[in-house]
Amino acid sequence: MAVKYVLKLYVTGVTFRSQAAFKSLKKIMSENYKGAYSLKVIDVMKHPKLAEDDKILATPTLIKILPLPVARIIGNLSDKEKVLLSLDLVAVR
Amino acid sequence: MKKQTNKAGQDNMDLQALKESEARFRSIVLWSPDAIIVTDAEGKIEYMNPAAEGVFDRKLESFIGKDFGLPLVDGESTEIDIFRPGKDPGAGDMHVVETEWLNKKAHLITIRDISERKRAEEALRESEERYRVQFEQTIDALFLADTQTGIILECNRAAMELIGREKSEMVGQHQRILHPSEERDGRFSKSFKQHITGETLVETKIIKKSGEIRDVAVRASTFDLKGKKVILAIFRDITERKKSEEALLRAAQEWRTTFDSITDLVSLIDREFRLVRVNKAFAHAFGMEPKEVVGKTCYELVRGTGESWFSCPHKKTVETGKPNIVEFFEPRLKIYLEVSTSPIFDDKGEVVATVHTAKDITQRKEIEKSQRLSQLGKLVADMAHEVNNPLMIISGNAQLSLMEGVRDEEVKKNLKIIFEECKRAKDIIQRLLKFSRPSRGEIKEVDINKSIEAVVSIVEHQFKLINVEIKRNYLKDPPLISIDEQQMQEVFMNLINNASEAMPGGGAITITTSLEGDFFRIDLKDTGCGMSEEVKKKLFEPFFTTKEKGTGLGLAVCYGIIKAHNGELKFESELNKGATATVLLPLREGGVERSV
Repeated sequence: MAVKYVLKLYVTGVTFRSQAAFKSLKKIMSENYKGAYSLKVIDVMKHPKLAEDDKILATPTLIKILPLPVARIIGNLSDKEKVLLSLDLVAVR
Repeated sequence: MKKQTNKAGQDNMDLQALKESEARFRSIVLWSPDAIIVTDAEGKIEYMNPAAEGVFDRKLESFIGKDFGLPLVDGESTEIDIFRPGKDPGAGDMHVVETEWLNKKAHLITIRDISERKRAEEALRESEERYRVQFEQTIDALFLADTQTGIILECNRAAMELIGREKSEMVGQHQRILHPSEERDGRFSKSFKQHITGETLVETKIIKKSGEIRDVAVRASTFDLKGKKVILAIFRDITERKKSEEALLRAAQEWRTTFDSITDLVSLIDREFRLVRVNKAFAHAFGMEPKEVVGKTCYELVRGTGESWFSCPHKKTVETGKPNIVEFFEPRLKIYLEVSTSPIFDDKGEVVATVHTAKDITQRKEIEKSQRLSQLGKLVADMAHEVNNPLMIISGNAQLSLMEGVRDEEVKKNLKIIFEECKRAKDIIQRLLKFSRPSRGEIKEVDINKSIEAVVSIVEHQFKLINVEIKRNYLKDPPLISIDEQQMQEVFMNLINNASEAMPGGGAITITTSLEGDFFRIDLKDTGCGMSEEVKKKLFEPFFTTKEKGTGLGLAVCYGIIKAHNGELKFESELNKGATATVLLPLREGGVERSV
């Protein structure tokens, strides 16, 4: 099965916020797109250059690379509805 | 024409108002300390205010038109991390409002830098955590209470262990529940009241949930906490320490009591001959209390000298490190002492002091002496018996010969002499036997005057012939005394004979009876040649005699008899000034002892 979603999650360190964002996202993706996604987590403290290149201003920032168009969302990823909506909405457009 | 002018004027006014309005709002955005970002509906950045550069700590021109991202929050704030490349990240409070911007849907995003606040919060949290850990983990039990109400506000784990209660059972309760009722003074515990009035350290008792009571030492201080006066108390369980202290005190008391109850004179003497410690017996022997004696040197106290004597056992023990025993007569206390010294070593093995024990052995010496005497007596008795037999034979044969008739006058005379001398020898042997075997005579209550008179009457007649006068000075109505009359008469006989023998040219013997305290006193005074000091010293020694033909047993026997009656026999005399023999006999019952 082809990977439908390619995601990049930028977080800052191993804070509670970062962990929560990752956990939430993982849950959402595995529940809704099981097996069909690839998630990369990037710590801006460890890879500031990547963050700069990607023009990251704040975390948590989630960037959807595939399917096009590229989209990004910022903030608390705990609201499942909002996250799904944001991802799908952007995709549908 | 006018309308147009008005419109232009109106337009001018509108423009002016607009300009002013724009200026106002521009300042708000420009001067806001928070970052203000406006994105389109998809999240592309359309505008960023100057503050944003400060918040994100970089130049942001390149971000215009780039994706900020869809902010997943609406109406409320959310916390985000601010990325600052090459620097520490910040913390931000992001607030998003959907709005219109130039007639398009837009997001108005405000980001407030709350890094400082977050840092402060974190520091406070850390600090609070540190203090909490310290409070909780302290080995001593800690209690925090309100000084006015006495309510326990906080306590730590150690406090729970000490009292045996859960925190919930103590926090919110009155502090008095920690103490047994006897420690209370009204609503509060005595210790609480003491602490409030300024006492820092108080000893008191606590009561565990189980009912067990423990001794504790409490250190407390009061201070202000958010307007309330509170007290922080540290409880330390000292039950074991108190037990040890009491045990130690008891042991010390026991030791002291034991030490002082020893009747021997015990003292600890250091290398400088100073008395370090003495028991009561020692101190009292010198008429002092132990406290007065300590510190004096032993020779100063005991001998009144400035230095120790050459045979000092303490000195020997200090030098040799070995125990030592000596026996000697103490002139000041007038007793025989056996002194033993034992070394006390320090941990280097050096002698630092000796334990000096002095035992009164006067009685022992006397027992030894009487034992010696009785052994001697036994020896003498045995010998006397042995000698008696051949004597009997000699005497018997001489008598036989005399009876068979002897013609020769010379032989007859010699035989008579043999017979007479045998008789004399027998008398001596009798006396010897008496000396060795104090006879068990009858003890009855007797009028001593009459006893003496009986003896006097036997010898009076003979004494007159040798010019010895007997004067009587008897006590009127004398009390009856329990004595062995036969033995006592022997004593009188002996004394009277001695008196007369001291006056070969004649003289007077005065016999006086009187009462002296608990004793009946008999004085026998002669006007004879008296006795010298040397003779006086040896008077009672067996086999000591000043007489040519004396056996030297007379006074020894008398002494034995009188001693058996628990009485006393003494002599007063000076050379050429006569002598007085004094016999003292106890008046009371039990005055006579059965001899061994």
